[in-house]
Amino acid sequence: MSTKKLNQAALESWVTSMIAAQRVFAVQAKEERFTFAPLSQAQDLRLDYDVTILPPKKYFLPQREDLMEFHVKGEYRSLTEKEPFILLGVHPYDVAAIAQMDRIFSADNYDVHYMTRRRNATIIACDVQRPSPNVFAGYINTATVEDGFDVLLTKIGDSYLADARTPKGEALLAQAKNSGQPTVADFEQREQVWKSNKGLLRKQKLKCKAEELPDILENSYYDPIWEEKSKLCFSCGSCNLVCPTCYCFDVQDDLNWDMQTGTRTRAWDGCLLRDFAAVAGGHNFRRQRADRYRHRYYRKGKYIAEKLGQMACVGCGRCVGACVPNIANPVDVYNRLFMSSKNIYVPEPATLLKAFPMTDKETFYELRLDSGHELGHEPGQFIEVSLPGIGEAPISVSSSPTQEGVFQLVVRRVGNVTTALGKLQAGDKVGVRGPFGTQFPVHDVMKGKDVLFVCGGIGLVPVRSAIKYIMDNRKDYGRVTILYGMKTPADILFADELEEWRHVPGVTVLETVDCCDDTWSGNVGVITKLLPMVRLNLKNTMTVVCGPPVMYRFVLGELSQMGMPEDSIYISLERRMKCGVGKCGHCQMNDVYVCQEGPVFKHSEIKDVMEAI
Amino acid sequence: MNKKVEVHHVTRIEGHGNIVVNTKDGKIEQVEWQVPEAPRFFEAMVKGRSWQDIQSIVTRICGICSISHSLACIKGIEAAMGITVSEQTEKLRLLAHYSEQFQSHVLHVGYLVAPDLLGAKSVVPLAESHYDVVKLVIKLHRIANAWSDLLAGRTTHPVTFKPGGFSRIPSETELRELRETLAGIVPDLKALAGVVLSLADKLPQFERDTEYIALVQPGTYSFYQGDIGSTDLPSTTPVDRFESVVNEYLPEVSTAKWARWHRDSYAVGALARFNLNSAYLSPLAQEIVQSFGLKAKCTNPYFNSIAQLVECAQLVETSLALLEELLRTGLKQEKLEARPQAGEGVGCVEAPRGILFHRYAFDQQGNCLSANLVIPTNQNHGNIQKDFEALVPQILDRSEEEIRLLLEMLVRAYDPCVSCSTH
Amino acid sequence: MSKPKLAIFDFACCEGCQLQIVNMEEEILNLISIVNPVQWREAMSEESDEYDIVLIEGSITRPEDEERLRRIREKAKVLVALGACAAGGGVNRLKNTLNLQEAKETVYGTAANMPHLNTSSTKAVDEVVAVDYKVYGCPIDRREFAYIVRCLALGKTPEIPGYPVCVECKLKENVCRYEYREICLGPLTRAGCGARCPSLNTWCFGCRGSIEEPNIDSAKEVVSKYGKTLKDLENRIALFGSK
Repeated sequence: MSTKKLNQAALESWVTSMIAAQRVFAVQAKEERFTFAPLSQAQDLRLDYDVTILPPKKYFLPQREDLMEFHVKGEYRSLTEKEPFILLGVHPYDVAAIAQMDRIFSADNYDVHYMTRRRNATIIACDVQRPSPNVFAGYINTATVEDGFDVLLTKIGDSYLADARTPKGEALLAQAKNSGQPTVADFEQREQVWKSNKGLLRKQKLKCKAEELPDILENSYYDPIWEEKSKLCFSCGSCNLVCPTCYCFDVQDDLNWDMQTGTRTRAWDGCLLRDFAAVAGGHNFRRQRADRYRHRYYRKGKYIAEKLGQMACVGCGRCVGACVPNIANPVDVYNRLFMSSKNIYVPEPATLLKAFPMTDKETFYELRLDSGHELGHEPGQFIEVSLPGIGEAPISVSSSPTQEGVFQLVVRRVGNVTTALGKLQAGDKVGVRGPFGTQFPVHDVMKGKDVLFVCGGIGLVPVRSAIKYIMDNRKDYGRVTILYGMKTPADILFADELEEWRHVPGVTVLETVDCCDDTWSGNVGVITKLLPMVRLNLKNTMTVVCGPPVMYRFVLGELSQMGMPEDSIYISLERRMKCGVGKCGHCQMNDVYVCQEGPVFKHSEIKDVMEAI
Repeated sequence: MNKKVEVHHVTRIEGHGNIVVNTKDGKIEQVEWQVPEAPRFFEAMVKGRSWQDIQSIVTRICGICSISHSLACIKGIEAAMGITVSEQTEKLRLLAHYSEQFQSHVLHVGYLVAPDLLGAKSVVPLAESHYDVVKLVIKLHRIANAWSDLLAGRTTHPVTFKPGGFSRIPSETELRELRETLAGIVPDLKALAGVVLSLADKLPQFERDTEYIALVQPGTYSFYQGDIGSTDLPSTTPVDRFESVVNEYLPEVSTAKWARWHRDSYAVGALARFNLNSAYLSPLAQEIVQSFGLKAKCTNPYFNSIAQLVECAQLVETSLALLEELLRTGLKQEKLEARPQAGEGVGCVEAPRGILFHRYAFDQQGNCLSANLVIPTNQNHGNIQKDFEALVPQILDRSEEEIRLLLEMLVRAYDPCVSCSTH
Repeated sequence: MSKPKLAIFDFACCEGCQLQIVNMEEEILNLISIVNPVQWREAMSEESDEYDIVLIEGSITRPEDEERLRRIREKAKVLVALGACAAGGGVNRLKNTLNLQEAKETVYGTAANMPHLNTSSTKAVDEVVAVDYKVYGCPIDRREFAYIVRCLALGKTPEIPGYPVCVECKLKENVCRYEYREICLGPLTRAGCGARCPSLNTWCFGCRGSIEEPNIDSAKEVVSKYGKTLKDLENRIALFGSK
């Protein structure tokens, strides 16, 4: 099969020729969102979309369709639609969903309505250019697809590679004029897009593997999460209706005015709807909201998964966005179940991939969970690192969640565990529990704002996670200012990264040391000295402070003098922590568990907690 | 000889009204137009409600003229809050407004009045005896409703009207289709006028001079803008002084308030508009006027239905011109940006049955502090009573059955919206 | 089989639902081919006391209207509440949030105490007599009405949506009104309208009344998340007296 390279003009003229030849349903803007709709001119095509409101399943299983016409005497005439059409711009996860629906509607009892439409369709898939914030296809293996389409479009620079994979696709692609011949470099670039999309389509972080869900759900039927989450459920079925793999329907009859002939129609239904499982006579087999809420997760993660060998979820994230009370996020639910399926005190094995000293006290580690799971942390969270026979220690995660597959720690040798850690090398094993605790609010209140980081010593370690996250999503934030103080120039951590950040537009990095020799030409003195050196828009700045306990009083005092609102300041506190899960009591300050309600606090939340600072 | 006519709940009108006539030995003892409709208290119900919700409430005053109520309400809110709207919005609103006038007039002339002229009790037997006429009426009515649907989002109780503009506007393609449709029904209008003309002798001959009141705006046959005009007064009155015109009072026989100005009663509606604005009728409307030999000032209340027929032509012709203008300039998607503000304002439009006033006051957050709504039929009730008093002595020699029919036809001629008037 | 006799009676309302029957346009001829209208004051002068199916439009707001309704019920074989006012009280239920005396004075001023203005609280038809079927909506949807009449003529219970407007709104692929920070009652309101208002870019204000088990607690959480107050929510819910 052939591949062609099409620039924007060639693509548009190809699409124009399609419109002239048959019905084309393609992605177009609807207000601020996108939908598949009949395409009347090529310029309306929006292949740069994130996700459509409804999946393209509506072209195979329409919202409403007449199944048959009948006569009350008992004559039936089935109705099927036979006109061919092109579906243009289908994302890989939706291609995967269609492939799954195909199995369901063709196996066992062949559904002629669905399958006729399906056979009449030519699917032009398109690799994702702009991931939706709710997508997690990268975890379900649906971020890219190998088959299930006729042509695949992948954007390479300003052009598209169009790859025909079926005779139908080949014939259609032959219509494309003024196309170029792709080069080896183009194919390499496409490989790169596929590789990167597998990572980029992981906006919602699934902690377990999709294959593990049937087993996790096996033991979760009575989990309190169903009751808890479904309390806010409207029973509106939105999660069902926007799902590319949900296919339940209702069937109803209506007579014509002659009262002799009529139509039997099917329409989308949803198992979240109150009366979905109610029978004549009134009994409802899933009476409670929680029953219905649970059913969806079981159907997606277990019932169909076991039957077909793949989840009935392709990670499009539509349900996440469609649920007004925000309770339909499968990643949320599956992560919770995954976590509670584990003994909270038993660590998970992890392997050190890298271990090297950063200073004479601190060592840098890069690790991967042996299970292959993501750690699934957020900036500011910590883990318990475990060495059997020696013990456990709480350690902040220093890498950004945007870094896939691995996570990084920086450990100062101070106690039994950290000293023993210091002796380990790449290839050695440790145990890991977590992540635990609260996070720096990079996803909500910091967005669109200027951010000021004030770090002392190893306070930079947890903060680095947030800085790196912001650097990876640079356009979502305003000016970034990093103030970093250390005892001596020899104590500096991540010197190369600080240097790199300094050169990012809109980023300011200032360092200071307490004492030094002549080789240091930078600032000398306590960190508060740096504050007057930067210009801050106080109203629009969110501040993160992290460092040794003594630093907080001075920095917070100075910020307050400058007029920085207490609601805009986040601090990360250190305490003794044994369990990390709000039980052992060591980390408590007054009535606050630092491991659960912290370690990241809004300053205003704890300024009246006497033992805090 | 004694005569007694008692009609409890006159049929083929909107709402509940009674006719009571008693004579003893040829002398009239009682002639009454009664309004026993259940009061609904809309002016109290909107108090404390948000400016964003008022329109959804008050449109429910009337199922037949809900677009008029919505527009009067929104104009009132906009006047109170100093909200201005684009020329496009005004034109689209006007187009919506015309659709309702047209729908209401077709409904009244075709479904409610025609049976009287054709000697039937309702349109149901006419579906057999006068199938072509019924088909024609249904067709015009369907087109009118589709027209309302397109602009207002729904035939009854509009959805798209918002303070400041529209939540959704039609596409240019849809407007072009509407233009085609309206241009296509001109022959149907002529046919309908022809049918009614052939039955014009069935309209009772009865004259009573009264005061006629309607919106007037120099140069136009106004339905939507202008000042309050009266046939008894050379000058006009600004709409925000409408209370000095309506002078509402409540008689014991009515749960709806009645109105009077320079005389004991006055009339509003199609005939009033014709009497004040006939100089500005469109060509086809003028043609129909001439065919009926109609002249302003016409004082036969039964001719209100003819004035409605004339207005049907006026509405279609004016709308065609309006569509032309809209399509020439093209449609723009406009953002709704109205914000609430304290203030008081009046919205006034001509509803199908006559001039309609809404006054509102709001606080800073846009919560409604007070409302005063005066509906056309409020203003016609007194005039119906005065017509009764003038007509009954002229027809005392007729049978009870005939008296009853003539009085019912008189009530119907006003196209009263009784439940509307007891809002 | 003779056609069932149909009668229509109206109480406190705008009579817009009856108008929807007229608005069936050509189909009204189909309608009268399967039912025989014997009394319909707004459109017909014929009258009859014998009827099989009765449509009641409007809400009940006076003692004398309750009496009249009971008499109608006695003669009716099947009684249908037509439209929001009859089925749930409709917009007239707002009156129940008012002090009646004050409301009368607001509307009638010094005439407020005239005896013929006596009125009681607003009731839905089923608060006075037994109702067999309800046609929801303000106004009713004429397609749904036609379907219901055909079901009644066939002797079948019509299948009316028990699910919320969100279902039909999703099927229409509308952008959710909450994305525009509007208080939309779609999640609490019975579907059947085809999500008309959200499809026209505005919020649902609940004219088809509440679904059976509306999740008001969730609605409260949601509106506060979108920066609205509980009062904003309650005020909107009050418009059509949804639970």
